Amino acid sequence: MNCHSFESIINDLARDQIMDAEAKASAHAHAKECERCSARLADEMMLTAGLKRLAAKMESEQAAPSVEAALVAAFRRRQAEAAVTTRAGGWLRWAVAASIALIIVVVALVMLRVEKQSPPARAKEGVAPQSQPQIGNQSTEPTPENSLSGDKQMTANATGNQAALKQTQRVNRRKNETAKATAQLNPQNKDDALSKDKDAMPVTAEIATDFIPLIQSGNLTRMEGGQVVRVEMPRSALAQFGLPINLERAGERIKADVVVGNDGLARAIRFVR
Amino acid sequence: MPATPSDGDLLRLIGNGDEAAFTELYRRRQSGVYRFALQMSGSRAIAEDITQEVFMILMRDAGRFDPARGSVAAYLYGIARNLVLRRFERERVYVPMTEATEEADALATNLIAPGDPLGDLTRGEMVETVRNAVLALPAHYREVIVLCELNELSYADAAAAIGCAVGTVRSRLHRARALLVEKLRATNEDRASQAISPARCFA
Repeated sequence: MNCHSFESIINDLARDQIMDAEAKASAHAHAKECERCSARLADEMMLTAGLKRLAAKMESEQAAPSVEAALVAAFRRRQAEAAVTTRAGGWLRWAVAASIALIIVVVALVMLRVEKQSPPARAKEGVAPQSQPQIGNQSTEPTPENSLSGDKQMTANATGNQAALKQTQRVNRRKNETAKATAQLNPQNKDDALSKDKDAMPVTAEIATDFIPLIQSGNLTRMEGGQVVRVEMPRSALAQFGLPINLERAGERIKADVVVGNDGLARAIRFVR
Repeated sequence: MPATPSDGDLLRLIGNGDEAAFTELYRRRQSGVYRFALQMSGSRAIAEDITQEVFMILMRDAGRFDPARGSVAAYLYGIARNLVLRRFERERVYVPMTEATEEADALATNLIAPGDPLGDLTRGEMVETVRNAVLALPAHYREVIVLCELNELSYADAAAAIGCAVGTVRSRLHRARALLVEKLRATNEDRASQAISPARCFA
């Protein structure tokens, strides 16, 4: 054995570790021959002895009893908290499950009720009823289940249908009147206006004069469109248009429809009774 | 279960909330953890704090122990080592060899066993010198001395506690012992020179 290989096993030799018996004998033989390695082994053995003595002296060292007491108290506290958490967690799980079940039942009941009350007029006229509760997309989609079928549903929704029909008629009448007035003021559009007038439903309870032009200037641009505005004015205004006045009712007011163009100018007027 | 449950059995019981198992494992392993922290830091207060923290972590993370990576003792030493090193970084607690604190003096006094005054004094001085030399080592050398020499862990357990290869433990131990020998020799030479100084004055 040389000094290098002696150095590689000197720790195990000094610490009296389990090692190959032949290598151990060879190392001791080298130490007897080599003064340097012998001194080195002596130092290492002295260190080992010192460390063993230090370890032996400190063997009785241990933590104070208060550390154990604190740890046991902490362990108990931790277990108690874990038990509370477990109980609370179980209660919470049940509460969540019950809430979800309740929500599902409520939603199912509401959906059933909506299907039963599905209005027939909605599918027929394409007008959504104002008072119909809308839940999700199912009640607004025209499905076979909620479309019109049978007299029973029509009877049940007759009131709503009549109101919707009246509203539609009013809108159509206004459109027709606007077109008619426009046709009177623009002769080239007259045919179109009249054809539209023929298509319109003549549902009226009013008696009206023809539209009387308010502007006679030839410089005005063609009227592209406008609105009919219902106004009230004194009956004396009839005289300005050459219409007869009932003197007994001269103090009363009279209704009139004024055609107002998109440019904001009043183009024509008619009187309504 | 056998009459004396293993550390692993106790750990499993601790995970199930068994207080008796926790107490049993604490009493079985606390002294080793405490000594390791004391030998690494040189402070009883720090050693007690570390011991308490180690077992607090154990009761919280008992399920994280992996038997494939080492013994329960190595696992505990590993936790203690990490806590000690973290403490060093936070508080920079280094115990210089030449500046003995009151606590170190008290510890040295406790380490001297009563008996033959001359023999005990010599033995006590040696023990104190070795202790100071160990405390003066760099931490990565100190820990292998403390684990393998003072607490007699195997190389494998020391490697598991430190988190390195067995070969690394062997090489660090070799280097650490060489450093200790140098320090002890230097200390002995200083004492020898101090012992002959008065003679020179009278000459």
